[in-house]
Amino acid sequence: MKKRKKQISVILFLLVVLSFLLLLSDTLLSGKDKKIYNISIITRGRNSESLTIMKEGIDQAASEVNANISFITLSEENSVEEQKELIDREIKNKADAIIISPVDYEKMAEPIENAMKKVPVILIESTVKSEQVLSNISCDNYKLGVSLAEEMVQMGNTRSNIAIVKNNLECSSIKERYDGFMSVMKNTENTYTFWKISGQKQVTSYNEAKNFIKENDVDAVVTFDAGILELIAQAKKDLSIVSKEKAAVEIYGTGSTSKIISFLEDKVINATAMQNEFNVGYLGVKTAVGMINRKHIDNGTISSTVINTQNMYYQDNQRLLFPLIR
Amino acid sequence: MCNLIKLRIEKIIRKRKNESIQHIISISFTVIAVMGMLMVGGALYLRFINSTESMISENNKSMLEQVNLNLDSYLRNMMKISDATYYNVIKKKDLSIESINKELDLLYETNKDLLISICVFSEHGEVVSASPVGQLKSSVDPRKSEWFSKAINKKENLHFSTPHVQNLFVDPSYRYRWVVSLSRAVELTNNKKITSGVLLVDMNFSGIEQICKNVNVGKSGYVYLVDGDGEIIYHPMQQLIYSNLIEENNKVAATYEDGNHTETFQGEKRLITIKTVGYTGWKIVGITPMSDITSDYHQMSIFAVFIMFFAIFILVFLNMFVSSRIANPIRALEKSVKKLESGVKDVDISISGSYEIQHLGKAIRSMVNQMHTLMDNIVIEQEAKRKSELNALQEQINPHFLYNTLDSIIWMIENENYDGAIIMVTALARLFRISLSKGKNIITVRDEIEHVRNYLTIQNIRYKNKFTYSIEADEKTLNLTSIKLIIQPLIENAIYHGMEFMGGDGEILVKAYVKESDLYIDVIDNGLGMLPEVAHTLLTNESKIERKSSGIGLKNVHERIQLYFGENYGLKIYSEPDEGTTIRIHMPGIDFYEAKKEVEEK
Repeated sequence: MKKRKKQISVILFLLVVLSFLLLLSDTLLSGKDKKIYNISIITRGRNSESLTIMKEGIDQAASEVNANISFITLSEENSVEEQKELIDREIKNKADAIIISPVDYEKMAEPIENAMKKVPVILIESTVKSEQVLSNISCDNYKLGVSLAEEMVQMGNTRSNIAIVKNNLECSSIKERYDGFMSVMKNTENTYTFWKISGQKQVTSYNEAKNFIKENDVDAVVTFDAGILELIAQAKKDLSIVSKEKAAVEIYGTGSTSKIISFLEDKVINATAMQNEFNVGYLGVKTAVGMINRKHIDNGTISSTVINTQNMYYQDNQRLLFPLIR
Repeated sequence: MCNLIKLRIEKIIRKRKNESIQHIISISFTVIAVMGMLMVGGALYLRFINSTESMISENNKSMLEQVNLNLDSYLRNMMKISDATYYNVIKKKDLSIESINKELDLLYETNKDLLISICVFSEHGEVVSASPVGQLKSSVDPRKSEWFSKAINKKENLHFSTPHVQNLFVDPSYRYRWVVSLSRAVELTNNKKITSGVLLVDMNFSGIEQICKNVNVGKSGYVYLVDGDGEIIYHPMQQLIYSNLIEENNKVAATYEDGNHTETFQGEKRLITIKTVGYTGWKIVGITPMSDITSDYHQMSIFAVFIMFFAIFILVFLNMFVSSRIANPIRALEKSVKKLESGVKDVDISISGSYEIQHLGKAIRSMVNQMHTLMDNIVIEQEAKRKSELNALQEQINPHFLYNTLDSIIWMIENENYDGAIIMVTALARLFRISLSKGKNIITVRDEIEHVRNYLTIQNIRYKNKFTYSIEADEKTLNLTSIKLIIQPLIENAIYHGMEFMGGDGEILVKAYVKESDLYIDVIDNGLGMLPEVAHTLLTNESKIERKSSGIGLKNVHERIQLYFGENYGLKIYSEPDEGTTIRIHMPGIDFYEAKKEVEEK
């Protein structure tokens, strides 16, 4: 009798304690959601203008998941050393995750692998050479190159002299775009002039581009980097005022800065292949938070499209090109 | 069903019948308390759920009402601008004579926050006038735009477009703005000729955004705006929808009537509130995920469960305490009564607990005391009664027997048989001497045998040698103790029932011997004997047959022996009809003198 009484009281007591814990954990858990994540984003270049749309996505995601974003651009275009330093600095600054657009497929592999041991690292646009499973958020760059090439062929470039700007090929996204592009082009009778802009400063590069177009007799120029596309387009625009002949030079590229769009509208640029950069930014941050919380987030593939003057105001492209600015 | 429940309850009650009072009290109290708690908790919870849901619905409704009001006034504002432009500017001027740019600029400047541009197009898509003044982009043909064709095709209406990028004019800073276009067909007076044209008022999209953005419809709820076809005009996550990162049930929402609905979208149950905006046919859609509402329930229910457990816990303890307070004294009382039942003497009846139980305890205690005294009295009385009865019986021998014997002696003397008379008188004298034995009840076997011998002598003479007798007493038995006058009744019995009807060859044998340190005295006759059943009744019941004897029955002897020496001793009768009877006295073998010494020492 006594034993049973004791048992009953012990069970009841346990139940009360359990329910109390439940209550406590419930209130604690609901407060836990308010954690702020520090996420650092390291770009590939010094110009963040080309990343406006991506930034929109990043901001959208940041407001959703309560993240503190520090957006870091390089002081020098495509500098491996600087990116390495920045990774170290951000880890020291207690970043919860790093989102990086690596400048070099091979050289950045080791620093990123090292960083991944400390914090989650998410690669956007490009990737690095690594055995490890990397979170890479990017469109199919090879396909992007293919689409750009197909667009060019459709525009009638089958026997043209095409200048290909081979800058930044060490960056995997650009390399893949280039590979994709060339895979289509090798079936055509086009002739190619390969060219690399060597100048580091914007002004010198611009002059170089201007001179190149002026001196070489090319039908089209192709580049796979938004910054260089802007330069070349600017050069062509300025030249076309002087010479009608140069105005006929077709320019193809990738990227979607507002400058590029206006060039597109002015028919300076014929077509640009772009990925859904908003999604890249958005998914980048979402994946980063997912990795911080050790949850798997399905990397949806990022869509890409080729935009030319005719289709740029189609509803879908409009939405892609001009994100609603908050 | 009712019967089944009844049966169940009865079964439980039957099972519980033997439960202790504490159990019954604590369990029934607890059951009732728990049931009460559950019922009250459940009722409150349900009430809470009901009121929360209706409260949220009502709240959403009034929120949307507010949004609608704001949006309506915003749109009316736009329409007013459009009206003002049309009726006060365009209609009043001949465009070939004077420009309307100034007026448009004025209108634009006053509503700069709301507007991106006001422009008038001819039916061929040429800019007639615009504010702010802009250069039409070379690549743009307004006639291809939806707003243009809509305005031309449905002249009487004002048309609101879905949000799109304004791409009409060259902007040196490359800014592209999202606008909602309000277009209408207008009549342009050109050189007194009336031609048709289109008036376009581009509203800043952020104006609509401002109205819908910070509407509070629950924790993670939001408000969005669709046009009549379900195209999204505003959504807090518009870009995500455009980028296919998330989906919205906008097409279905557009088909709902005004009011509250619930739907399940992507596995999530949500409360949807719809409000149609006047004129445009737009619909404001308020979304509140049910999980928002139910998360409140969840917390509430956890809290309720906690409170319930806590209350039950306390109640159970309280019940245990109270029931033990009630039951413990009763149980103690019950325990002492049980002890009493099992015959334990000197039971201390517990007196504790409430007044009633104390009273009960006191009553039982006094009852027990009274019972004890009564019982003692009865024992004493009984003993005294028995003793006096025995004594009386012993007395009884004398007159009857004396009379008979004296009668025989008289008869002998009359017949001048003086020798016989002398023997008889001598025997009688001895008989009485032993009979009296100074009033002692315990005598030696020797004396007892002597007594029997005298008795037999007398009887033998009286019965004129109708029987023969012999006495065989073991030497060892002679000094052992015996109760006075136990053999004589057996002899008497044997003579009356065994010998009286026999011809003269009756035999009586008295045999005393020791076996296993116990004393046995057998009285054996060869009389009529009896059935064993009859023999058995002799010792237990008073025989119903009238006795001719002096009245000292075998039973009496038996009881006397048992009274003195205990249940293990007494008489045993072995008898067969026509064979004879043996009556065996069994007594403990106690040395008379040693016993006497012991008594004296004490």
